[in-house]
Amino acid sequence: MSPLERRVRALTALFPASFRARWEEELVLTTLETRTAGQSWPHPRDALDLLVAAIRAHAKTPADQPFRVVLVQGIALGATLLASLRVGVLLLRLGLFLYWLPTNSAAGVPFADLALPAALLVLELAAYVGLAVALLQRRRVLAWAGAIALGGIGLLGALRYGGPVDLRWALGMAIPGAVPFLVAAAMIPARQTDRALAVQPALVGLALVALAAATWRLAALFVTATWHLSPGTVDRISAAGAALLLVACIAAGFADPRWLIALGFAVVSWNAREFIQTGDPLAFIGTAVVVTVAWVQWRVLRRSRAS
Amino acid sequence: MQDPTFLILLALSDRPRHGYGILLEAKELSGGTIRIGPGTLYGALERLEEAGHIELDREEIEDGRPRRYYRLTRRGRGVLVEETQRRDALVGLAKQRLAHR
Repeated sequence: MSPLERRVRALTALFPASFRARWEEELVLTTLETRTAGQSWPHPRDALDLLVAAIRAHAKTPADQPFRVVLVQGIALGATLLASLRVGVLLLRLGLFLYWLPTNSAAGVPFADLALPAALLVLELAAYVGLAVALLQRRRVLAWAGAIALGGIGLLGALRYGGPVDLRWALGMAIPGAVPFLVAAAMIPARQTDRALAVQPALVGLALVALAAATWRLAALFVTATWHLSPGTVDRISAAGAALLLVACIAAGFADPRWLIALGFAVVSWNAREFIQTGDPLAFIGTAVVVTVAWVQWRVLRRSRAS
Repeated sequence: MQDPTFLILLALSDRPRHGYGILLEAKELSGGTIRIGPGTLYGALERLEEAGHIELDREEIEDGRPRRYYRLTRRGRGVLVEETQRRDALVGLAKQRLAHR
């Protein structure tokens, strides 16, 4: 494969899987035929054209697809959103840990008390890197490994808790973190993991955490004139990130019901802990409502397209 | 209908062509003023095929790669004729308007 073809294929990989299955070989061939002698990079004009066409192919109205496919894509979006939000929070937590490290060391905090939380943070971040690799290379085993690792971290966290711990409570701690990995493991063999479908919500989630952190920092400047990095800060920032996510998904959901399903799925995972720990099915009412609204919207889109 | 789609249909109106052939013909037809990119071409081909305006004519293997030729369907020809009349009417209107000044 020539360097030009490799670069053209990197661009055509941005198209949805269904589009690639039908058109990719021809698209690559035709793009290569427009080359001039000695050309080793795609012409910027062609690169831009491919990028725009890929975005348009993804934005193709979900009304063209059966609701089952829309639902699956929405779940993939939701799982990626959750994962990216979590990665954002982990990065904040790691930053906070490093920020306090000199102070804690000087204050004589035992090494074990510092090393354990840091090791858990790094392990969890590594699991998410594994998830990204699993999605890009379609390696199912990596996704399973991540799910087990994160479930293990959750269980470990629950067992470290000093109070009485029963199995339900520990499972409630273990399962939500593993949810994006379980979704990935289920979807990789079905080849429904479009790269852009994974990248888009991941960027949205990370951007929201960054926005929430920046806003928080700005607000702290005005309110207290000092920037207090207390342990509660990360929780508050992640809550703010989740709130922004809610608003963003609802706004995007007006055009595309997949974002509503993503939101519903994120809420399910959020509430899974509560459901496992208390067995209260009310935790899922919000999700049921959101998914029903998404279905109604899909029907409306389909009808308006048919007419 | 946008210009690239119109040109693609027009390029297929005389005989079946493959992707690159459509690009060359479209460039020729527009006198080099409109250049269709490969992404735009295949985005349009997908839409046109779904709408039943074009269909696969034949597939040939060239240098180990499949080369697909597309042809205009009866419905596609109807759409092209309709669009040409619409554009013609618009041009007629514009000419009248400009002649009155």
